[in-house]
Amino acid sequence: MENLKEYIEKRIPEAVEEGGEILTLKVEPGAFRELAVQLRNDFGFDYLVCMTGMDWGEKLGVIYHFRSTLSGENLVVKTEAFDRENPELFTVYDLWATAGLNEREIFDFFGIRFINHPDMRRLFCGTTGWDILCEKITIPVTP
Amino acid sequence: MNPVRLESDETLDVTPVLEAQEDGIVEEKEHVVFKDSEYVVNIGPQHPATHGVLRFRVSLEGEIVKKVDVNCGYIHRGIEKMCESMTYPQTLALTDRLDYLSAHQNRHALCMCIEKALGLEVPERAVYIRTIMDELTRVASHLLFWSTFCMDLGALTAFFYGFRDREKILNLLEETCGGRLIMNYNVIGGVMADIHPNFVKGVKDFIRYLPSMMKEYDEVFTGNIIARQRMKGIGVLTREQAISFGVTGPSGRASGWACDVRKVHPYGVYEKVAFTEIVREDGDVFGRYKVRLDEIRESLRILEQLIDAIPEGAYAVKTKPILKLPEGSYFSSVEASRGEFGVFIESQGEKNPYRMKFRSPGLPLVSVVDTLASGNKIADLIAIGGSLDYVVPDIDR
Repeated sequence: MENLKEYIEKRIPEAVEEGGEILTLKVEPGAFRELAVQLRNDFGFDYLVCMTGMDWGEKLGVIYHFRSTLSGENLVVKTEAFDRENPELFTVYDLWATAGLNEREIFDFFGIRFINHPDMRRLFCGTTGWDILCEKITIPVTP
Repeated sequence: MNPVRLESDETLDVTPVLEAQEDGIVEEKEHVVFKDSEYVVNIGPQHPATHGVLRFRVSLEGEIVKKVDVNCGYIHRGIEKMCESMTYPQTLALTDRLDYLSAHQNRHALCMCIEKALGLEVPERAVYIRTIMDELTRVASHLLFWSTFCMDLGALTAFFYGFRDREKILNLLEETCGGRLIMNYNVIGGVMADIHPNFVKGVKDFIRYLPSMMKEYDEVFTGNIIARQRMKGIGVLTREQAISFGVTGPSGRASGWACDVRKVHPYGVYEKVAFTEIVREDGDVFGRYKVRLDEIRESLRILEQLIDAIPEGAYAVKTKPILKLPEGSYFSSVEASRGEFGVFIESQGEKNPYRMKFRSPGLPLVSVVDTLASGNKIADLIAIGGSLDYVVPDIDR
């Protein structure tokens, strides 16, 4: 864990640490892909526990919960897409296979498209989506 | 206005993808799921082997499965979205409806997450009761797995045996919780009501009853030569694949990955009880089958240690009528019957969550079907699906 903090200070100084019970990093979408490769290959975070699509109002993003199966350490990484109208992030499908369906779910609910994902279809809401259930917070749900 | 669309979607074989070129420019391209020349058969959405409303599009070459394309969403209810407009106590009711065979564990996870955020201390008695209920649910779930899995492979007697014994647990749960499938038992700060006066005796009787029945299970199915031939060496999931796909629970442990949340991040009273985490190395259908049967025995061991040790005291603490979680993000997970069930809450200090996400164990399970079934026979697809033991409402949420 100390190594990880050192690495982040050296390579991605703009990554913001946030308080909480689990170490939480906030990185720019441009730096995320490189960090993900490092986390997977060098820091042993081989298990992607949970991927959460987020709508923070101004921006859309994803929260990743990582765990190392060797040391049991947990890490949270947050990243935001630049453009709310046309949100795009890099895939981590090739690093953690579980991202395959999870990224399709996030695309379905939030419209974030993942670059280099092999199959960007909606997962739950059919081919065209189901507006009434769209998870974007700005769209009101009628009771 | 009827919010449900009446026209149905066309299933497309070509999907858009974004590909980054070497110079950094992102281009839109097309991905072909199935070629025109491929022979594609639908299994589901209504098919007994899919264990719910799930649809597989399977590309076949004779009897050999070439590719499986999973189509989910037939029972997507938008539970995560619904939670955003509900108060915290109201959201509890929805977790029972995710994986209905892990109703107690799911609700335990959500209660734990909210209690952690509130800094609420749960009475010791409630923690014991919750753990006992979790284990009873696990036994009931694994019994149902055994019944339906054997039925999928053609052993109908097993189905009746399993359901006969699962019924005994449901009766116990009904006495205390009032419900048989949707229990609504855990609440924020404890449990809904104290255990029924007959509960302790009932559980003890059940612990004595089940082991002799499990001998019968082995005689009926485990030792059967036809069953073994259909299970051994079929659908092998390696440890690396299990971790990469996030396949937790009995299916992950059958591939040699010690991923039991009860051991990794102990909660409830799991730290105080002695039990073995069942891990096998084979990773095939038989491994997944055997892990579940062995886990029933371990769960009985846990129940045996806990049932006489339930401390006296209150079964719940009184909470404020309106709960507001402090601003921040919270994550808790428990070992549900099918794997790690996690709850992520982002709160902005309101009485309802800003975002609530459920990490369901079912989605990774269904994502490995393609990997496991490709190259096997179509009958093996049924065995593989049964052995993974996914529950569809948990996948679709």
